[in-house]
Amino acid sequence: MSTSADNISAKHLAESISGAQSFTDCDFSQNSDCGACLKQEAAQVSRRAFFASMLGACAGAIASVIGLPILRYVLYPVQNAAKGQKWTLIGDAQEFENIAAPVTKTIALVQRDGWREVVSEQAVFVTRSDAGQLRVLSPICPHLGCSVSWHDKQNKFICPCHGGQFSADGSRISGPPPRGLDVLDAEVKDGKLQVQFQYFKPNVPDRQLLS
Amino acid sequence: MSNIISKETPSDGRLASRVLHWFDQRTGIKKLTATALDEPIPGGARWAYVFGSGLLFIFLLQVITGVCLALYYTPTAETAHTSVAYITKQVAGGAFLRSLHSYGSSAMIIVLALHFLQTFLYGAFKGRRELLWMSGALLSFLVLGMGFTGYLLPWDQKAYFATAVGTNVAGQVPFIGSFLTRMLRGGDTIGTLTLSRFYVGHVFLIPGFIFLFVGAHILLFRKAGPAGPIHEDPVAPKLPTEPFYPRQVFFDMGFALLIIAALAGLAYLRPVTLGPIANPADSHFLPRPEWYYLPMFQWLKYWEGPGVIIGILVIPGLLAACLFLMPFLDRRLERRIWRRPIPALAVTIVVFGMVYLGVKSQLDDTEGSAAQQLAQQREDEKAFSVAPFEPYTKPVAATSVPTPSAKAADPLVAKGKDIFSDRGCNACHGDNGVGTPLAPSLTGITRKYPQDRLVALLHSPNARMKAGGMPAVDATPDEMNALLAYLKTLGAAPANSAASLHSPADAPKGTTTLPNGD
Ligand code: FES
Repeated sequence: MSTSADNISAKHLAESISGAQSFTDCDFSQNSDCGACLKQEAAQVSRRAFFASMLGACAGAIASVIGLPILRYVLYPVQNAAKGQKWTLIGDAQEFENIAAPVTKTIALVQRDGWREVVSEQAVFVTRSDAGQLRVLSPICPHLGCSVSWHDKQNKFICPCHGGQFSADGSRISGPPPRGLDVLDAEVKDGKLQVQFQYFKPNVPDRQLLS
Repeated sequence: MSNIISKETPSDGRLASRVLHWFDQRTGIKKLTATALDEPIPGGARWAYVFGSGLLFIFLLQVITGVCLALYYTPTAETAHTSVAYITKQVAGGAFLRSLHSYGSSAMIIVLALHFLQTFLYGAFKGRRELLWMSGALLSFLVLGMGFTGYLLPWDQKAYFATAVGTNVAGQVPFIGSFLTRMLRGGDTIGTLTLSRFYVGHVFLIPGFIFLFVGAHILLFRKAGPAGPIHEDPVAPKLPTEPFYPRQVFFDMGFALLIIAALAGLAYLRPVTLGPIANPADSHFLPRPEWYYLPMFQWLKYWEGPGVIIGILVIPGLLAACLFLMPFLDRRLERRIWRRPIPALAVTIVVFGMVYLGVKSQLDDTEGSAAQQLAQQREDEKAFSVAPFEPYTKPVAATSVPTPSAKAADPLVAKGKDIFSDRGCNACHGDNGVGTPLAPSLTGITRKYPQDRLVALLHSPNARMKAGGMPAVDATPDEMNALLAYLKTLGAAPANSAASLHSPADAPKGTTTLPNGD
């Protein structure tokens, strides 16, 4: 804006800036040529530029005082979207001390969605690894994502969709699934078993996080 | 293109000026800016003239910060408070922008008062400026309306109760009072419909009218021209003039800098608080309006019984009418305030009266039980403001209570549900078919496809479904019927969510029906 203003009212500016004296010299309300003003014009160019840049600096200061917070404000969810998921409680670790076969547990999965929290239910299997460590498995079949279930009689997990089979520790036995059941990150804290429930890419040989 | 316009292109040929030239030829922007900036001010630029543009500046600031707030705010009784808490406590810069908006509303009132006093004292509304003045008076009422509607939006205790009082006042109007109150509230009580109404007023209607009347105000101002100093002839100015640019622009810019510095400083050092969520059952809460409504609030205390109409309607109405019609009441061309004793006296009485009422209301609150209660409320508000953010959770009661509905009892549906989980449909489509990252929701699927088409798709999925990992469902017609019966119930009611499914971690949330209530 200030640039165009420079072009338009060059002589007006020059005069009005110089104050009271010019007030009587020129009639600003008319666009007629004013000899004195014209002569001064060249000398005033740098002064005009100075005033324009002063105004620009002020406008810039105001814009940045509110512009920077606005930028951070608008970008907030973009920058904070990838925050790690919270741990979800499964139950007391004691409960699983003497398990002989995998147990199904339903956990309340809490997901943050802006200012709200969405609670959904999700089943997980608590079992033991070869070494006897507690292990939490996702029930989602790594083939195409059906829900596998534990069959006590056969002592294995069987997927109802295409018959994928897994052993009690989750490793693949047979069928179309390209890998064993997905092991979820779990930890025992203050005697409580907690898990980070995540989804993984189906039908690939290695465990890839689905974000 | 360049050879066509080369004749008219400025000789210096710098890119910037050529672009400007190109743009100007199509928009006339240079002439427009010239008209805007060369506006002649009789008697020259003055600090006294900065208030009008100051108001425009604050209004723009309010629009910008308001749009920002709307980015995260939701106008429902259930979620409004949580979303404001989210803005205040979580979002980067949120507390600052909300404070700017809140303090901005106060700045608006202050600068509005100064603008009014300046134009009144200078008699700047005289000489064919009736419409200019009246559009300004309308704008003042609209600004007060913004303050009133905006106060409710955070849906905290003081918002709720101040609005209860404010809308009750409207109920005192004879004949149409109760209708007015119901109209404002969208019903008998203050609830989510009230919030919607105030939101629409605050965000769409009133700002729309403000834009309209600001446009009219500026247009009328340019038509009449600045009135100049007090001894100037308001109709045919005689003093030498000075263009608006640069000196007046500098004054205005200086004032804008002062405003933004004050507001940003306040917002940064003393961010506005947010009280606990509105609790209509709290019978102890003492409502207090925003400071600029305190004189009115105090004034209403003096009126009871049948005379109340005079207090709440007749006298404020007369004052508003006098303000609106000022140019017709004080109509001589005489501008000097000492030669206009009656208007001067009237305005002095009203201004001092309002200051007195406001101060009195503050003083009344420093004594007795009210003072204690108000101090308690301030404490609660501070405490809530510093408490960590609690996200909104749906009252679990709504989903966890086993619904003894006919649907759940229907054996066909129950069988379908068993098939749904036995076949592992729920693995991808989620429990109750709500959908997961692996597969879409099935809610309403039976309305999307006719039954035979759905059966066909289930028996032999199309290419897209197959690509997504959907297996063919091998089922007897009976089983298929049961499955379809179950699919039909999806989304209608949480038919299969049994209380036992909930882990202990979920239980405490089920005990509260008010989000964020404490
Ligand atoms: S989805 Fe489990 S085996 Fe195919």
